[in-house]
Amino acid sequence: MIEVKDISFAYKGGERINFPNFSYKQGEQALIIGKSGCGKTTLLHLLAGLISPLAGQIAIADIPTSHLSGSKMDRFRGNNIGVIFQKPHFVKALNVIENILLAQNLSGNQKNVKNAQDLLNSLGLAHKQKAKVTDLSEGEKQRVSIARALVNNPQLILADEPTSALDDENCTAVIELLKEISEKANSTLLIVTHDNRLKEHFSNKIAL
Amino acid sequence: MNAVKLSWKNIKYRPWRSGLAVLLMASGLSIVIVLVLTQSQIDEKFKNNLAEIDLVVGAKGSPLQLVLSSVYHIDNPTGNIHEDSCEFIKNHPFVANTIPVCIGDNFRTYRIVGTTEEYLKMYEADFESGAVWNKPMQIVVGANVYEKFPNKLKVGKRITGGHGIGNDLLEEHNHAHDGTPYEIVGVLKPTGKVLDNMLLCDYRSTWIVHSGHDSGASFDLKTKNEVDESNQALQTFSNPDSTAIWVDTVPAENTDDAHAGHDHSEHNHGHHDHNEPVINVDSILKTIPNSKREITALLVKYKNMRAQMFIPNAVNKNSSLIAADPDIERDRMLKLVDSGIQTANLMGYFVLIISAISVFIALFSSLKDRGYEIALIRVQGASRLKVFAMILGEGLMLSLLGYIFAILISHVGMWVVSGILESNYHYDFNPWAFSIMEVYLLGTALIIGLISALLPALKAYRTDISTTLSK
Repeated sequence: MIEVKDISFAYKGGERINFPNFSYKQGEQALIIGKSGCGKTTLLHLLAGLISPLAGQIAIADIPTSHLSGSKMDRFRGNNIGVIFQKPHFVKALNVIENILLAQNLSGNQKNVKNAQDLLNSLGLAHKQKAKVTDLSEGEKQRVSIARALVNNPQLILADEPTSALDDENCTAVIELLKEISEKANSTLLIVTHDNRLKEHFSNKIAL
Repeated sequence: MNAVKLSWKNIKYRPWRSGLAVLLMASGLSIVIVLVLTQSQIDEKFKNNLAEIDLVVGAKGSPLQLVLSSVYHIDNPTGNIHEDSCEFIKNHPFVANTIPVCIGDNFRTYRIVGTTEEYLKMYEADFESGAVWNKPMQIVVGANVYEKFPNKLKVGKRITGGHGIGNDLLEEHNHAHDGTPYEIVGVLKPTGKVLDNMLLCDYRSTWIVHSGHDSGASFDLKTKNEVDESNQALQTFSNPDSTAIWVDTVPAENTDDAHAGHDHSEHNHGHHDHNEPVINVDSILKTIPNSKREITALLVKYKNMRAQMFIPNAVNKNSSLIAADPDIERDRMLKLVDSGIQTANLMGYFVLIISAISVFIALFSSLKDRGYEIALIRVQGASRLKVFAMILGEGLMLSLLGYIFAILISHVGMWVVSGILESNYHYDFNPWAFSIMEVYLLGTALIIGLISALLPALKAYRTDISTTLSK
């Protein structure tokens, strides 16, 4: 489902970073572990198509995404990739459910309020639908950002340090949730982290 | 949750910044709208009322004031002139026609204008009911005046005038001429000209009304005592035993405004309780000496343009008269008004420029906190162009809101001002008239919104998702 081959990247005036090759099938889950500053987030941005590699190829669902043009990549990403960030950010002018419906709209999917509500219910956020995003706790914010990443049923879920801001209890809850939901939807899940607490939850691991 | 809704929510989320931008936009636009509407209506009024007057002759004073008072009826007259001092104009071979104008009295603040039938013809007045007067002390009512007092001003009713005109009159003078009522003989159809706000009568009526006074200029203000004295003087005329001037009486029910006069008439008539005198016009006119036969102005129509060379000069040689060319005075007036409006217009445009800057600042500063949001939206599938269009959309929305408020503010504001103009000057001003300029201004507003949103939109377009998200 995802295949990464010989990719490298360099920031302006920075050193060239080479990334290991890997490939996973649809529905597989893996952890990409590395210390801070070793290029974890860069790899995630490469996979999400936010930046292009200097060399090498990335293919997602048999489409060579590293060669897609800007707006095509935007559309592909909206439809096929759900991204969860380390610090959950939202459009502050919108409430919880509106943020999720916005993700639906931006991907070009039909508006489906029921789907968005079901997702919030399954994450235990039914009562927070109309809440301001700024009023949520950190754990709640992370769950809402998971709901937002999943609302378009993406084939690939990318998570960047999703648990680093959470305590042990919330950490376990969030990671189990991610695993459960991606299993249910048969999505491929890749988590980039330096959080050693996650190692025991995954059998597939890549070290950077 | 589509892009338009998102733009709207973002505007609402920052109410103070957005509000300031909208307020400034609305202020600038409404200044311009009010000026455009005012100017077009003033121009129209001044052109409409000029009719076919080539020259205005009146008492020495400002020629502009003479034209304003005798043609447009918005200022006080310069004074009065003797009718016989104008004889040479009337008889001049180059003069086609002259129309006398006498002003100085009012009915409930509406001017009573003494003139001739020619005046009505000049303004192409039609009658709603009744007809023109055929002798003095008969009166014809303008459409707006009739509309204000439809019950009092029916044909056949009697009214009395008060001393003074416009806002100069004092309340107690409203019944100054109770002894000399006018008989209403006609009501005019609306003309859209000065006629609508007047009552018109034969110019000699004013002599009769004022025959009891020893006032020189008919627009003099008098104290209550003086008025009472002059009424007393009139009443002595009306004693049926002493003279034959009062030949008839009519039942008091026909008069609406003469009640204050009853106190006097009861004393003088004795057995004629609650009866009002009717005046034998010709007898009174005979008693009025030439020195009291005054008019306020003479409107002159030339036979040919050669008159221009001679008549004004001839008039100005007479030490008590002045000749004013209404075209020249109107142009001078409009030039003054125009330069004022131009200055105010500049201010409006200046405010518009400030509003453009405020739209720019509102968007640009909001983008500062929204950098991450923009990146987020991009990650979720929005293209660069979509983000660009969204910010432009916010600029357009702000300016559209400003425009809507401007239309409301300017027209409601003009409605308030027109009420004041109407009650103080009887200057009817239509606050609900719309100008094609307002459509152009919508375009202007949208262009301002677009231009001021351009730079912020470009900034959003250029957002580097990866670096923004890594911060």
